[in-house]
Amino acid sequence: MAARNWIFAVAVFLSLSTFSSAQDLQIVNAERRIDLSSHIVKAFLTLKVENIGKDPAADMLLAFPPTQIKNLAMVQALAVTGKKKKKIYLPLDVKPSEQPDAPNDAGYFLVSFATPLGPGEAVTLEVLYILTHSLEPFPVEITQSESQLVYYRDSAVVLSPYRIKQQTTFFKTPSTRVESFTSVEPANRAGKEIKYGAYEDRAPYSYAPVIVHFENNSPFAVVEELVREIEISHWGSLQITENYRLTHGGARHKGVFSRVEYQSRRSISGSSSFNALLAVLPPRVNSVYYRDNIGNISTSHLRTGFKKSELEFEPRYPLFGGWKATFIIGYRVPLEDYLFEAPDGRRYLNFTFGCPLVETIVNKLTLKVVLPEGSKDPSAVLPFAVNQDLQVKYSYLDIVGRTVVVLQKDNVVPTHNVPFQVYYTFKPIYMLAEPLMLVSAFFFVFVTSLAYVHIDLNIVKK
Amino acid sequence: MATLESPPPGTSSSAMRNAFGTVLSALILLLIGVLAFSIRLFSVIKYESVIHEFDPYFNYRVTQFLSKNGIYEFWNWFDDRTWYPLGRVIGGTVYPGLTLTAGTIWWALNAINIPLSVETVCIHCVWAAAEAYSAPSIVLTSQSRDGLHVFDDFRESYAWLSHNTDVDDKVASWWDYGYQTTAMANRTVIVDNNTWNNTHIATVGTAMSSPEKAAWEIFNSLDVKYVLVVFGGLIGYPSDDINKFLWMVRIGGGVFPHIKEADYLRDGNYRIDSEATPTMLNCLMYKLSYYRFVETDGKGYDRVRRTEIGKKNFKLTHFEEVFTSHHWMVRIYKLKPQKNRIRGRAKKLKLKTSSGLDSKAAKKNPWI
Repeated sequence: MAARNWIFAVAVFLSLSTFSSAQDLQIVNAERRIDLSSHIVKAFLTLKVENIGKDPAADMLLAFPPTQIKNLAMVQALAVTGKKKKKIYLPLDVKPSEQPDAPNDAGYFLVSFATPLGPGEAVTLEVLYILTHSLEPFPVEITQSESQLVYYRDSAVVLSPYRIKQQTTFFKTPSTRVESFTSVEPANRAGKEIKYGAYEDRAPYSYAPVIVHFENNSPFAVVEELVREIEISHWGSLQITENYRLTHGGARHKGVFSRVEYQSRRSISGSSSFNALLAVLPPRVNSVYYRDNIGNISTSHLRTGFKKSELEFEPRYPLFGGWKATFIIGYRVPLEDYLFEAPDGRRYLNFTFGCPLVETIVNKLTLKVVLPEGSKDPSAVLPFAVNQDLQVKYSYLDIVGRTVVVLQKDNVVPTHNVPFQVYYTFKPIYMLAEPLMLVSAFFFVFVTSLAYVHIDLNIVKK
Repeated sequence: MATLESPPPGTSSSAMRNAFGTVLSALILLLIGVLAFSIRLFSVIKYESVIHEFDPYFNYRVTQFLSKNGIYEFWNWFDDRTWYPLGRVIGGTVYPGLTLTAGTIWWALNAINIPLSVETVCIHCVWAAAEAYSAPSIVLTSQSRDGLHVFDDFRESYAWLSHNTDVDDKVASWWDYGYQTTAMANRTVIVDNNTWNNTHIATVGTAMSSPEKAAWEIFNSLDVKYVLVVFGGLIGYPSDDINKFLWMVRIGGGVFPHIKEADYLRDGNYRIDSEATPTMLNCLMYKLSYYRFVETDGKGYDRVRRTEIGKKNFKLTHFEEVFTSHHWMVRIYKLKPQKNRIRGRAKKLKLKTSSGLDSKAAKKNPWI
């Protein structure tokens, strides 16, 4: 309560300061639906924003509490026009933003409108944001026969720099087992849904912390590190090698692991453990292998299709909380599906970023694109921010080495699986380098043997 | 003397024949080499490109060390991850031919930028050693009506050990699995296939033949954290530790006289069914192999010994099960830590079937 009053006081103070948008915009209606079914928390926020100022507004701010900012994997915004069945969604530009005097270290994202919002006008926005590592297991350790319960902390009212006239928040849990949830009137629960609202006329930066304690046995598959190497070979194929370090990110396993209980009473034993994983691979994939550092792992099943291929695979043992596994998945795809020529003569690779595993968080993703020997001026184009670097790799028959474009990103979720491009220039004459090398090697061997056979090395003539 | 006049070098037909002959013979020799090589790769192609035997894992691990650390480190290497706490002077006791050949080939290929892994090079060099030994394979297969069924329990357990235990944890098992455990699970072992120290092997054998408390004391004195046993009773794998148990008793008894083979024999045979001796039913190897085995089919039928087991329902007091592989072939147990307080009165052990050890049950048991 004291915190809320303090935030309110700060907000009043700030409304007199130089926030350009704070006085001009207000949110008429906010509806937030937070999906807690898997360990990747997805929040869908529908905002009806009205310009109550005298000047047109070009953008607006979305605020997040500091605990959520570091776990935000992605923020997307769409402007909605049209009604009912004829709705048109227009993607908007969303950028992280630093604002001075942010209360309590709140973080911000700036959403730019397609056209500036005139005075008196209103626009409806759909915002999607994804949080990772936001479900905290409690109890922290569980035995094999226990179910996994987690905490989710959020606010019953939407944190915003603007006044919100009316708002409702819905939380969707995966099962009907909810241990407890903070009550902020009016709040009630029906089946798998908890409704907080409707709340009328809240001041900017209102915040009402709530904790929901519920059962979540979905697989908490967290890849601690993924190194993905895409090797371009101009002889016709793309070779992709992925090194995974997988762990179970949920409540830690304590005590005994009993195989007989796991096999006979599967429904209650190890309910939060997971065994099977699914990787979505490109359609025309071949030579798929699944192994780890001690050899091939035979528990896998590949289904190829026209639009995508699916690899269902199992680690060597089921993963319980805190257990780790490492493995390598490799495959080959034809080059013509992914390498193209740009209008300015450069070549570019068009491939999908991210991790092929479904519903998994990748803490640290490193994507290396190995360009053929003799490539110059590499550059990468992505729809979001990544760390870029260049390395050199020496492989078969290399003399100067191959340029490697290294892209690194933290906190990657399946929504990041979007196409990206890597541009480079390549003179076709360099294709002859490798055959010439092999031809000259054989030529040298034959010439040497010829010379050896025909040169007379005797000191005395016979 | 008749001298054979060699035809003048300008003559085209005989010179051509000579040239043809040389090329042809070179080609034939090359093809013979390739064929000889390929024939020996059949097991690699049939199962997998992995080393299958026990002993070659030692050569592979040593070659890995050589390629990573160089020749000087290799000559001076004292391995502290085996024969704990004694260790082994690898530099001084190894036959280096195989290792040095594999290492040189790997180094040469990498120098001209052909990136073959050490493992690949070893399979092509280690085959020679593997051919000389018997054939315990690391991957077992069987034909069933839905096709080929693969039993990869060994590697499943080694992978589990390498990822879910601490690097310095010690694993005790019978010596057959020593090399594989150090190479694949990367954990320190007590005894391995080198079998250079009979007393150390006898210590492990005695521990496996003793009751739980005595076994715990022996393993605890060796800083052991995990005990690994191989059990084939669920799927009918005959080379398991119960079948090897007679050696544990004999070798153990050879050094520690309190282990007497007669205590484990009924009419001259090692039995694990209802006719088994009380000492057998109470020893660690029996308990670790058959712990909760009765819950799989209700009767505890051992497919290798082809009989129901003697003692079916029992609890472990000094060990706890941490991992059993998919087909129960490898079972890993952890030593329970010592209790801080010894209770004043001993609680009576609840045993469903009579073990004949009532006198021992009445004795003070500080672990209950």
